[in-house]
Amino acid sequence: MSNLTSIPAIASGRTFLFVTVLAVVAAVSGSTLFAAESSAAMRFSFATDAGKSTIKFKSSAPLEDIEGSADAITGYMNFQPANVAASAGKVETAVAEMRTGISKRDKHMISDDWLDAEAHPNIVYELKKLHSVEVKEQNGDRTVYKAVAVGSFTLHGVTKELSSPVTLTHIPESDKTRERAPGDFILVKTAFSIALADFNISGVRGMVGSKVGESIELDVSLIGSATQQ
Amino acid sequence: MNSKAIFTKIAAGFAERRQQLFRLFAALGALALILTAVWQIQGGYIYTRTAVAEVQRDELFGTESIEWREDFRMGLLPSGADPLAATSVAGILGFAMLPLGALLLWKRGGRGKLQTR
Repeated sequence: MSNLTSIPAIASGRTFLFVTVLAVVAAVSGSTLFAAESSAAMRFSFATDAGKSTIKFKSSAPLEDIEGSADAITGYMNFQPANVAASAGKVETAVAEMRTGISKRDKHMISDDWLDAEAHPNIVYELKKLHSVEVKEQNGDRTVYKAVAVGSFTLHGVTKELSSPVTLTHIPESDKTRERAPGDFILVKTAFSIALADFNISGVRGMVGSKVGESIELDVSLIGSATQQ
Repeated sequence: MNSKAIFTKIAAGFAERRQQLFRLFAALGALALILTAVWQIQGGYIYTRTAVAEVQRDELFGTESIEWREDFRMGLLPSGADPLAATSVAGILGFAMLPLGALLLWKRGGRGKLQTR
């Protein structure tokens, strides 16, 4: 009788052990999966209070040089520290918000002779991938990557493929960063130039090449903070 | 010296320097005409500045951003915060000074000829 009663006891003991092991395995694998997922899906928003993103532009021409900035920047970037090359994202800036410090010139710039803000209100850059990724610097509070960004640039309703050298600085959350905003930060810096003719911007006759440069230099600094992990 | 005498002296001085004053006003008028012509030819491309860029440095990220400070600066005048604009203005003024200088030299030469007669 005692044997008969001990069989279910042993069986229930084994079941308990089995369930416990299963739970531990599930918990461990679950946390591993979660950890893997968190490193794989860091999404950074460029519309953040962490810092001010700026796109500076410069036109150099024999008769006039123009410098300005675009500050109304929105967008995001999906960044994977374990696979930086797979990063992707999108950045937009409103044409009507671009400034050169001279309101009359700003009106000319966004008029239909030039950027035509009414028909094409946004300038958009879409990051598709990174290649030639290398870690340039790594210390306690940040990791700096150098790479070449491959994406598409849309201006004046025309989209062109664009490759440009880019520097990514990933700053994990710390007491210092929490003073600005919660979560990790990312800084994206790149510089490139675009030819106005490539985007069907001809301007007022005779101006391009004399008072407005045939190509415009862009200097981009984007600051993003992690929105989810 | 009474006021009549003073007035007479000033009038005499004016008459004496009439030619010089005429030259001065002619030169200023020519300068104004040249600047107006350049302004008009350039159309909206010589602008009156309405804001000045101030560079803000972010120590955490090591980046620089631009803050625009509203600041009215009349077109054609040099704007300290915009060295390129100052260069343009200097070029325009330099261009304007050439015919002005020529006018002054021509006038001076003309007076010289008159005096030798």
